[in-house]
Amino acid sequence: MFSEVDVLGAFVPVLLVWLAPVLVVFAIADALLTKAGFFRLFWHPPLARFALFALLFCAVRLALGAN
Amino acid sequence: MTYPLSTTDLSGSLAQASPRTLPRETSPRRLQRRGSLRNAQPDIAKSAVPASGGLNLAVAIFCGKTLAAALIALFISFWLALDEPYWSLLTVFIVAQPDSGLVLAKGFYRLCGTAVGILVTTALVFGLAQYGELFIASLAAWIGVCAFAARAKRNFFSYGFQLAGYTAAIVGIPAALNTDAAYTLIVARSTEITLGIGCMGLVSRLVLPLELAPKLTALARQLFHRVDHFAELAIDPATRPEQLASEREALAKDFGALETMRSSAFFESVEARLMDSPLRDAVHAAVDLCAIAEAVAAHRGPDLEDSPNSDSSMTNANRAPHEGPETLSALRRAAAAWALTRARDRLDARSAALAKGETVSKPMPTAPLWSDPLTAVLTGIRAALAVIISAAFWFATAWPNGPIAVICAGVVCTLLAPTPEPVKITAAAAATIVVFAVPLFVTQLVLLPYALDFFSMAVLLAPYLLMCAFIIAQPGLGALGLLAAVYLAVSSHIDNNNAASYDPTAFFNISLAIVLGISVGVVLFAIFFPETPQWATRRFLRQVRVHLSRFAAAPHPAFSAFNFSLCEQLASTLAKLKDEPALARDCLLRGAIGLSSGWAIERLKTGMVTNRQTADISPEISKLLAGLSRVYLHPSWARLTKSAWDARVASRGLLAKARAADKPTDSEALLVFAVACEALRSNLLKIRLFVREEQDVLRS
Repeated sequence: MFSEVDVLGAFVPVLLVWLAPVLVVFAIADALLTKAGFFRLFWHPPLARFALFALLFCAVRLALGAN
Repeated sequence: MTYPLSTTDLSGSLAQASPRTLPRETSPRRLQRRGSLRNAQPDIAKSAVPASGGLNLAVAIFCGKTLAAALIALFISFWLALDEPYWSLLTVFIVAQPDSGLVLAKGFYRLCGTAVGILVTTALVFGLAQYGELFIASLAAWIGVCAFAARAKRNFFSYGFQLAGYTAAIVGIPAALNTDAAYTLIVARSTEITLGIGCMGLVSRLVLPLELAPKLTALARQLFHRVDHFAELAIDPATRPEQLASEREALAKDFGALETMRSSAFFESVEARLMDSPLRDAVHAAVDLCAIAEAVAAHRGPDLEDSPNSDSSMTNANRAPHEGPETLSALRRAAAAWALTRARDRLDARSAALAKGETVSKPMPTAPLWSDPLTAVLTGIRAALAVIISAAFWFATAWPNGPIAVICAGVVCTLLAPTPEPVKITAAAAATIVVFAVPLFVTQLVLLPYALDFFSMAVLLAPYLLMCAFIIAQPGLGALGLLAAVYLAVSSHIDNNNAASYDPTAFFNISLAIVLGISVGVVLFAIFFPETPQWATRRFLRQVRVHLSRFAAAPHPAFSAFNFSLCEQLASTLAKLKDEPALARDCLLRGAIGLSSGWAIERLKTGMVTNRQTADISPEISKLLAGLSRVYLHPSWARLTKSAWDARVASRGLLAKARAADKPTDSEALLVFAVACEALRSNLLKIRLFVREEQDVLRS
């Protein structure tokens, strides 16, 4: 269903390749936004966090998947 | 609307928790206020305890969330056409916890453990699969090493090692039996496990989340309150020893609960992570205050030297010719109050900083927790033996379900070793399989054949899955509920094959293999160095002595780290002694001796370096400290008496020096050192009594 990437001879799902940079960007953004009090604006901060993660993931997929 | 976990709310509750708001004096007005705080205690305790047990709303929500996560994971697995979707369902139940922070922590360590386990599996399968005996021996060695490491660590860190061990068995044995499809199988298992963790983590965090941070705040508040109260009791001469003992026990339990929760809350959110460092600082300050209170309480109570076996010359040595015992006692009490006030001020500052989310000084390094190497080695050997014995049975009988027995034996011996009574728990696990055979038989062989699509299958599976989730939510029974879910996953084989098979003989064979694997675990737990409450107590006492000896020998002892580790070890030992109040009291008493001795040693070592007033009597203090390390490691009546004598001489010198000091601050500092010497002396005499008791037991 999903394409695979050859990492040192092992085929790993491309989802995993997208996930790695997203996690790094998300961790930094999450820490900064929390310190700025951004998530206090929301009734359900975990949902806002999940939405942020989904947005970042789609953005990275569009950026990397376009090539 | 503010979210319950907002930092504003956190700051508010911590500000209330600050010991600064707690009264210090013992005036009637203050006592009345303190009384009202005590009355407020049950509410605090109630809010701090995880809601579980019985059928209440929290349990119902947990069951619903777990069922939803399991079905979502199962659906996605079918949608992705993974070959054995039951693995994702099983993983959901494995990481299911009532609090979302616990789910994320457990999920994170499960991912790490699985990743390491998968790597080792790959190496073992592709290197040794063609040599059956060598493969099993290597697998047993790996499981043994992981069980050893898991026992040497704490909380979910330990869980990660357990996972690394038995993932190799769970994935490795089927892969080794079918080497052509080994790589596909390894990748499929990893995907299914990751999917299960992701689904449970998301559902737990997004749907009606039960957060750890508010509970952590309430527990911290309760702990600070208790420590403050304990310090008051310690300095009050009218306090009965039983009162102190019960407070001590409650403190140790609160500390254990707080530490477990703190390490898991770290994974919950950025807010919880930001709170971690100031909270650790405040807990260290609370533990330090506790240690000083123990030192103050150490030389209260009956005079040990008046016993018929004591050395009478030591009693006389206490009394300076021009001072009565009342004067000395008043001086010591004043110095103790001064030391306690300083420690309380420190706790005040730390808890105020915690309320603001700041750290007062540079962040406190994580204290290295104690681990018992002997117990860890025995756990490792036991797990390896379980794999070897069950594999020998499999090889000898050529039983097709033998691999399941091998996996179960390895998992049980690794997973249940740290539980308070592993024999009983493991026997209960075997009984669970027998009891659950009936509902599972009905679900799998009577109901599931009617399933036409995913929706109907979900409806038919729901009662059994809800039953498993309900048992997981019950305190102390979680492992049994998980086992029931494992039983379903292993025996039902919900997979993507077009032709589902419903075979009662296969069902009973699998059930028999699981029971056999667990039985190997029961027998090994019962006969191979059984970990009884007496064993746990002996190992704790040994650890206190060894670490106290190292602490006394260290040139710059880390006082806070020592206290913290001792309290953590005490809390985890007490958890194993729930049904043994006498042993628990013994451990608490030795723990108190360790804490107060640690404080006294640190005070004297620091005092010798920083306070020039001690220069005249530094030979006496040096003599005392030099011998302590050996005395703690190899205590004997004569050595303990000699060290107690040295402590008395140093204390007398310090008291005389304090009386002659010009400045009040110098006098106060010297009196604190005298209190430290007194605490040491008193503790050495208490240990001497324990040594005598142990010798009497051995003789009889």
